[in-house]
This record gives sequence, structure tokens and C-alpha cells, in this order.
Amino acid sequence: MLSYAARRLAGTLGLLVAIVVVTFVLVDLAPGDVAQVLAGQAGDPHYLADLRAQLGLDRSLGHQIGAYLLQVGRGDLGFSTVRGEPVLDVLAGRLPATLLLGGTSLAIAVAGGVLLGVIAAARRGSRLDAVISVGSLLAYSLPVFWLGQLLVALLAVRLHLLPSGGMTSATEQLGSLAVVLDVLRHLILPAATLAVLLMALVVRTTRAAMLDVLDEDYVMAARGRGIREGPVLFRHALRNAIRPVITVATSELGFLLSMLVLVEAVFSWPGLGTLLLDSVLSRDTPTLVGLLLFSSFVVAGANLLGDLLYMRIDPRVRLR
Amino acid sequence: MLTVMGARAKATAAVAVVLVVGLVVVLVATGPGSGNSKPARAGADGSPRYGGTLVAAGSDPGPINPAITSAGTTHPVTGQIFNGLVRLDRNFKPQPDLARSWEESPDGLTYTFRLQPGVRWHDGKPFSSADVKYTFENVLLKLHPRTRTLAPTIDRIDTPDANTVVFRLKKRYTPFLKLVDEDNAGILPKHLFQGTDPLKNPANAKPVGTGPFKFQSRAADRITLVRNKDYFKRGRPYLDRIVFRVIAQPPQALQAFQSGELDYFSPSPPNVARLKTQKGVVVTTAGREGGGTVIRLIPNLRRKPFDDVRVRRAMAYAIDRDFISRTAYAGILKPATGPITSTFAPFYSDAVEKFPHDPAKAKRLLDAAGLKPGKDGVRLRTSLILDPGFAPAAEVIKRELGEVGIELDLKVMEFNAWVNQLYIKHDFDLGYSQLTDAPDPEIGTRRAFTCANRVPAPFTNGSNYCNKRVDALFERAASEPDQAKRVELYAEVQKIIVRDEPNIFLVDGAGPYAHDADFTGFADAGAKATYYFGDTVWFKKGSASRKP
Repeated sequence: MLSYAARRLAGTLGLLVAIVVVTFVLVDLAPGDVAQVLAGQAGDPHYLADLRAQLGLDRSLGHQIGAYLLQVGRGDLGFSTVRGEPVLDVLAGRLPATLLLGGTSLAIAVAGGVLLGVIAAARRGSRLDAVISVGSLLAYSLPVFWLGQLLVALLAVRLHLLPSGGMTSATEQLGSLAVVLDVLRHLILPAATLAVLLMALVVRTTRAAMLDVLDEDYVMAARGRGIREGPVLFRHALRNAIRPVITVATSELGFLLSMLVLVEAVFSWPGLGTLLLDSVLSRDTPTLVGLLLFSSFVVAGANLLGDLLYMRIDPRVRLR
Repeated sequence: MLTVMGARAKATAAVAVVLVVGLVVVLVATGPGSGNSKPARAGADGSPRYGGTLVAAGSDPGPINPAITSAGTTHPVTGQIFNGLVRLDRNFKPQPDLARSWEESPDGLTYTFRLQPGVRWHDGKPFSSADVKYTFENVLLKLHPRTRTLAPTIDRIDTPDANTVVFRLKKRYTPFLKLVDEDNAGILPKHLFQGTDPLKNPANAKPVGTGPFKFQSRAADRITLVRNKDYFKRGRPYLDRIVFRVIAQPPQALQAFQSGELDYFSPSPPNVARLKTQKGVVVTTAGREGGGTVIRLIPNLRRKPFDDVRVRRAMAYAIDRDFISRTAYAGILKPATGPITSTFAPFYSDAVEKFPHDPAKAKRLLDAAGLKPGKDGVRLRTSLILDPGFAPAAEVIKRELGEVGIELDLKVMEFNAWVNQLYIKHDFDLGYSQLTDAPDPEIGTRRAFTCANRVPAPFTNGSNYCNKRVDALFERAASEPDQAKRVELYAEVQKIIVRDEPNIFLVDGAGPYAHDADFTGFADAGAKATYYFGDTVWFKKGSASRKP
């Protein structure tokens, strides 16, 4: 298992180098550069030239990529001139917000989605099944920014029940418990928006997988032995049906990250998603590459984790 | 059996739902609500009151250092923390800031500034002339995108004593005093910056200034500033705190304002009409004269048929500026008559040729230029590059130019792509642009029209216009000491430019801002209140005296 993990990590390294190269090339192809962004309305070609030289933008793309890779090899993700901070500090500052939002949404989506999926499968063909199935299909087809805007317009702007965005209230200096409650209030709308989207997928996958296993002999046998339906569904059937759900949950991490960009933008949530958007718009290459490296690493890691989890759940799976 | 399980699953689901709903209800109910814990008293006598927190919308300011950037996203924050030597009032007259007085030598080559006594940096260290000299020589003249253009003009900077700074110029430069405010020349603490790279100094993350507010904290979604109780302008500031909430997208800022989470923000013009009808909200442009702009179309004079002045004038006649002003800009920006914003006294002149909406005349001019309509009525197929903010006006222009036979393809681009296409690559037929004029035509207007500024850099002479007479007038006005004569010179500049119509001037004015009516005093901060409002804003429900 260890050697498998090591081989997968080596493969991941190659992927990361490729990501660096592709990102540099894409940013280079995009019109404008960071010097132009920093110049603002001050149009002085000498200023642009000086700044480009200072930032190393006057060197060839190959040289810039090489220098960057050497630097990353030393554990340094570089310095963001746009933000005036080392990239590592920029990422570290934004990571907790994204983990909180992404983690909460994912937890709600998996817990709720599995539960609803199991119920729908157990009640196959019933009205409840129809409601859950159609509901999840609808939820999956909703544009995320539309759903987010709708919730804000209704619950924040019209009813003043919840904050429209951000992660904390700006006005009061709060005690620690109040801060936690305050953050949770701000978390409700973005987490609900994101969870609805993710949950839809989990519901559909769980339902389909459960339907496959519910007709299996061992389920009949379990029922025949007089085991109550709850344990039959959750211990016997779900354990065998959960594999595709894990695949979906882990492979959807990339999807989750891209949804995070939209949800964070709609709710001004100060996480990595808004950072990604900002760094693209401000041509902040060091932050952008750092961010993509980080997220690729996370996605690759999650896929590896998914494979290892498989093995733990299903002893028949052997990793080579 | 299924029924048994159904009941259990239902019970579990019900418990889960009750728990989640309960938590949400608790969180909704325990919310801190919006804004300040506002006491009921109101300032009846009109004198400023003390205390309160102003929550303002802002973009991410990047490094919090005024001396390395002219970005409009940075200075609303740095303007509260730092000072310049002077500050401009709403008539663009310099007023004391870190300098309490100054004198200009009769030949205009020497400026002597006497500094405020007893000023301290936020970390307690004394401020002195050495800070001014250091900031100019090592940061501003090298790194500030606008102020560095002064480098060839400044001969040397002397500091005869701790409270005096003397600038010696190589040649007379009349707008000099307008370039030494915080926006163009914020003064940094030498003791923190000396011997470091100003772009990477840690103080850019935890700034130390001399201004009315001290930096307290920065999170990804907000920057919090607290009152500097040792501020050298005695009795100020009035507020206890300013919190900038980082909200990059305009729709989100509007929603936050309407939800009562923000006290102050800058709405886009189309939203102004809606906000104006909202109770307890003030919408105005007062105090933003220093950010006055002229929104314009830039024809590429390198390309036919835009090198023909008749075609440019035809387009000017074809476009209904009144309609654009009323629809796309909610009447906040007014129809423009020329290259200088109408709010920009005393340099604005309306003694120029006018282009009233006259499609018939436009058609005659196009005929004369040899652009006859084809069978489909189209005389010319061309394109306009723009950024999304201009889209509502562009739709109107497309329709109006279409009526005279000019078929316009609208190419909406992201901001940087548009700047690059128009100003760096010069690869366009028609381009939208918006140039900020103030505080002096030498700084804001000249760059778009002189022959020498036909360079690949943002917000320069993108149209490729070149008129030696205009160049000479700009050159003379830059060193002309007499204000009345400068006004005359710029009036002639405006007359010639409007006659040649190298840009088609659409609407002008300052951008609006909206604030909670419980706050007041924004416009008292001068022509750049956008940056310096913290000096003068107060909370009407604050206390009558400063609590110790």
C-alpha cells in the first residue's frame, strides 16, 4: 500500500510540473500583465519597463518557468506583488474559509444525500421516491449563481434574516462564542447553496447503487433472518453500495472546487475561490500558479485517499 | 418490515431536520443585527459628534502603501492611514496636511514646506522632514506610477531642519502642488522603510502612518482601522472605527448595502435611481470632483476611415448624448462637450463647437467622406471594443450609429484585455475609454492628446492624434504661473481638440456614492473625499463630547 501511495505521489509530481507550465503559458497568452495592472491609469512606458524588469517579466517564458520550478523545489511559492505578501501567506490566509465552506457543504451533502438516496431506494416507486428523485434532478440543474442570488435576495435583502455575504459581521467586536455563532450565520446561505448542488449528485448515485444491491440474495437472506430493515439497509446493503458514492464524493472534489469559485464570488466569501478569480483578473501569476498547484495537489490527494478507502471498505480490492 | 424501517428512517430524518432547523433559527435569532449600537441622541446643533463605526465597501487594496501605487482600490484605505504634504479642497486649491504652510519662489523653482510640529507616527516615533525626503527620493520618484514622472523635473530635496523641506526644481512646473497630496505623494516612515525593498516591506501588510486612523487588523474579507487619538489635526477624527469590507463585485456590494450591512459604498449609475428612493439613504457625488472623468469613444486614427475628421464628426452628430446620460448613466453623468470634465473648474470651457444629435447632418458628412450607403443601407462595418461596465451605453451607440448606416460590432472584453488591445497593441477600430481628469489638465488631460504620448502604455494617446499646436499649448500651460492665462491656454486646447474630434466625448462628471443618512461630512474632505473621508465623517447619533 505504501509503495502504491509513493508511486501515485510521483505521478502527481509530474502532473504538478505540467500544471506550472500550462498556467504560465496561459497567463502569458492572456492580454495584459501584472505591470499593466499595477500601472492603473498612469500611462508611462518607462514605468512599465522598469516594473517588468523588477518582476522578471522581461525574461523569456522558459526562463520564468525554470526559475519558478527551482524556487518551488526549495519550498517557496514566490511573492505576490499585487498583494504584497508571500504566496504561501496569501494561501494560508484564505484556506480556513474555504475548508470551512467546502467541508461543511460536503459533509451536509454526503450525509443528507446518502440518507435521502437510501430512503428513495427503499421506497422505490413511491411518491416520496419521486419527490426525492425529481428534486435532486432539479437541484443538479440549477445554476449555482442563480440559486445563490435568489437566496440572498429573499433571505438577506428582503427579509433581513441572514447576512448577504462575507464571513463575519463587520461592526461589533465580539467575544469568542459570539464570533463562532456569527460565522455560522454567515455560513448558512453559501453552505446551503453548495450543499444542494453536491447533494443532488450523491442522492442520485446512492439511489442507483442501492437499487442494484437491494435485489441481491444476501439482502433477502438478511431479511429472512429477521434482521430489522434499518440494519439491513444501512449495514448490509449500503456498505456494498457505498463504493460508487465514495468515487463520486472524492472525484467530485474538482467539481466542488470549481463550484466554490462561483459560490464564494456570489457570497463574497473570503476563500480560495474568490482569490482565484481576483488573481486571474489582476494577472497575479505567482498566486494563481500557487493556488492551482495547491488545488491539484488536493484533488490528486483526494483521489488517492478514495482508492485507499476502497481497499479498507472492500477487502477484494487490491492496489498494485 | 419496510413500514417498520420507514418509521425509523422517518424518525431519524425528522430529528435531523428539527436539529438543523433549530440551529438555523437560533443563528438567525442570535444575529448581531446590522451596524452600530445606535444611541437615540442626534446632533441637533449640527456640530460634529463623536464615536461610531462606519462600514465601507472596498476592493482588496493589495499592499497598504500609498507611495507605490495610484490604484483607486488602495487609496480609500491608505488615505485614512497616511498623509501627504497638502490636500486639495473641492476647488482643487491645496490646503495644509502634513505641511502647515508653504511658499513658492518668484521664479517657481523652489517650494519650501513648513511641516506641522509634533506629528508622530502611529508607532510613536516622531515624524520629520527626513521622512519626506526619504519617501520622495527612494520611493515616490522611482515607484509611484504618476509621481515618478516628476523625477526629471526635481533637481534636489533639502531638509535644512526637522520641520522644513525644500524642493528645488530644474524648470517651473505649475501643477507641482497638486502632486504632493496623499494620492500622489503619501509620506512613509523612513525608520521602517530605509534599506528595504518598498514593494516587499512587511509594513505594507501592517502599515504605520500619521493619519486619522491606525491600522488594527486585516482579514481576507475586511480591514479594520481605529481612531488615532494622537492625530495632529486636533479633535479629529470623529469616528471610532472604519471597517472596509472587501466586496469585489458591485452587485454584492449593492445587496449588502440594501441588507443594512454597509453604511457607505459606490453604486454603479444604473442603481442610483433605485437607491435614491430608499429612505435613510443619501446618494451624491459631492466631494468626488477629484475623480471626474470623461467617458468617450476613441477612434483609431491609424485606420481608415477614422483618419478622416468628417467621419469622426459624423459619429459625434449621430450619437444622442442626452439620451445616453439619462438612460445608461441615470442622469448622474452629464452630456460631455469636450476633453475636460464639466465639474472641473476653472479649466473646463464650453466655448467649443457643439455636436447636437443630428442624424441627417451625420449622413451628409458621411456622404461627403465618400461613405455612401450600400444596397442594405450600410455605409461602414466596424467594431467597438469595451469593458462590461460600458455595455448599456454601447447598446445605445450601436443603435444610433446603425441609423446613419454605420454597423457596429460590439466586442465586450475583460478590463485588462481591453486596455491591452486599445492602449498597448493599438489593434482596434473604435474603443470605449474613461479617463480621470483632475487635479490638473497637465496631469489628467494632456496624456491623451500629445504627439509624444503615442506610446504603448495604458491610458495614453490611444487614438494616435497629433497636433503640434495642441502640444505647444500644453507645454506652455505646464509652466505658466498665471492661473488666468492657464485657463485661457486650456480653453484654446479644448476648442482645437473638439474641432478635430480625435475622441468622441460622450458623458462626464464624478461617480456617485451612497451612504446611510446617519453619517455625514463626507464632502468636507475635499475634492478627493473618496480617499480622505475619514478625516471629516461623523455619526449623527454619536456623543456630544469625546469619551476619554
